[in-house]
Amino acid sequence: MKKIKELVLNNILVIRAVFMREILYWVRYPMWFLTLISFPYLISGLFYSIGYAMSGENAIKYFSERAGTSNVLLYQLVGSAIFMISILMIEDVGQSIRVEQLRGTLEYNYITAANKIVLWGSVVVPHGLISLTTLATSLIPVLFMGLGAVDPLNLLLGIFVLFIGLMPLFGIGFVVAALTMRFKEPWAVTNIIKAFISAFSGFNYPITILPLWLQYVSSILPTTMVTNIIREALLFNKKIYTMNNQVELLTLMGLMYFTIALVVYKRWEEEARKRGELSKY
Amino acid sequence: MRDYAIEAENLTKIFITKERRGLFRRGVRKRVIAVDHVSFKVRNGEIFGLLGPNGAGKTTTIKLLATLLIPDEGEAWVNGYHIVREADKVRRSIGVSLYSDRGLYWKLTGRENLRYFAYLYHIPPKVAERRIEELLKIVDLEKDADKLVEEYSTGMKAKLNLARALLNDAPILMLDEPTLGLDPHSARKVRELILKLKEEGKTILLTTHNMEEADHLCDRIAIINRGKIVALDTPEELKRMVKRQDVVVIEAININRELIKALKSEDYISYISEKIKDPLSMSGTLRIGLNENSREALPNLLALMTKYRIKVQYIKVTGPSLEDVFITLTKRGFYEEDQRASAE
Repeated sequence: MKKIKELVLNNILVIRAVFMREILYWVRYPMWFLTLISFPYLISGLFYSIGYAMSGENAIKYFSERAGTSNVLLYQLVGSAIFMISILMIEDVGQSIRVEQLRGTLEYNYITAANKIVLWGSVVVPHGLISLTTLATSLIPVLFMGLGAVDPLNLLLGIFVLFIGLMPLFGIGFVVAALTMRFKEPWAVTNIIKAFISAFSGFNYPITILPLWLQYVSSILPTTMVTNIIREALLFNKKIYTMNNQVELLTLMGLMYFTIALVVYKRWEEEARKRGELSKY
Repeated sequence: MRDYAIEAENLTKIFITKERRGLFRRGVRKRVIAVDHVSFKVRNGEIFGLLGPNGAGKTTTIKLLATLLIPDEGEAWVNGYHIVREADKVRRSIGVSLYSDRGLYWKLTGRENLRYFAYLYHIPPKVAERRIEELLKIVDLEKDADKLVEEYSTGMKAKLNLARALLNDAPILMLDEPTLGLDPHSARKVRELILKLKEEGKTILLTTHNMEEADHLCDRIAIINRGKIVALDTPEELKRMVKRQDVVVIEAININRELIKALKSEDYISYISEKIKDPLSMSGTLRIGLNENSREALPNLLALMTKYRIKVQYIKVTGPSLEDVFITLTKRGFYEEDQRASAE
């Protein structure tokens, strides 16, 4: 029992260290936060402008028919905010090990007593917090202006769903991170993943406009599921606890990607130690 | 208690490197034996030095022992724990400093860096704060502790690196070139600290290519060259390996090939090692081992300097040092080995 308590406390210290480090970095590069909270509005504006340029004054009408809601602004904002959060998660987690490698801190982190999975995995906590802050800051003004359904319990569940939805993305990012211990090019891989999920997650347009086979692809993306759940909750006041199936599926996806990430990490960690890759930059 | 803090048996590390030649030509794979069947034992409480030129395999040896690399052959134990099978236990037994000025979070302060790593070593917050304060004092960084590391000088970063290695109060310290890039004052402070740590009972494995530093600090030294240990003993015993002879150290400008050729053909010279500091003016240091008494050889040497238009700035007759041991053992000086390593 004492050993378990010690183990838990030690891992909490590691999570605290990573949390502190990440938050301090964020605070010391404050412009990022501005980008994060302004981007959902900018991206929404971009899509609206493209739509208007293509269909003129009927753009909103056509979009509403396809999206099933007249609240186009909130529809766009939810999608754009989740897009930003997802991109950030994949990018930051995917590049985390490479960034440490370039900075020369990877080896120093590696030789500490910390459990490496907890150490690398801990980035999800500050990033989750930053993501949720971004979502809240971007959406709350709109919700309080009466453009969406504000049910505190539902909002809280929405945040929980978003956090669960981030897990598969964390898993994908972690697979990339583990591979970059050897292949050193996380940017190329994360950019492809980012482009893929941006196009097929229905962030800014309904996936029903895609060809059928792409709709199938889209429906298995965790980002599509999270966007759907949060839109249903905010736009149609649908209670999240009634969407159990989707939440369960998301959790399962999270576990699956995380397991894959662990296997890939273990495999490449040993390879990196054999090849001397930990110190290469 | 075990007699040895570190035991290495036939430790070998081979790297496969790829030489890139232009845009379209395929790179050539090359097998580099960085550490070649190295065996040594470090006693508890001693300062053990790995002395060798650049590319000799010192850092690779430390990285193997610090569990950052897996050996291709051989085995090693640190604090009684096997470096591959019990890597986690090894990590808890060591404090490591690998680069004097890298490996720090530049956007965090010195104190925040130490706090971060203290938590990774599972040191509870209150204990960590006390320890950090203590270490900042030891490395003389108290006043700058709350500045961002990006504002630190190389010397300050090296000190912070050392403080980090001491965070977990590990019984064994592995310090890779701890004074590299430091100004003489900071280097002296670091050396004093290393000696103090030894007094406190720590076992220290350090790498250096600074002969004087190795001579001054180490209880025992392993001279390593091209991945192999070529000699291992106390500094005094190592120096006894070189027969009692005078060594002439000359600092000069315009050191040229003709002079080196002429010196090599002289009977009274046993060996020459040159170290060019400025290739433009060909200024540098010549280390000339003599076969006979320096009084008889000096006039001849000076005559040769005049003949080949060498501008002598400083000349000293001294006894053999660790550098002479290295030259005797490898037939080359550190500088020549450094040149070879960078050419490869």
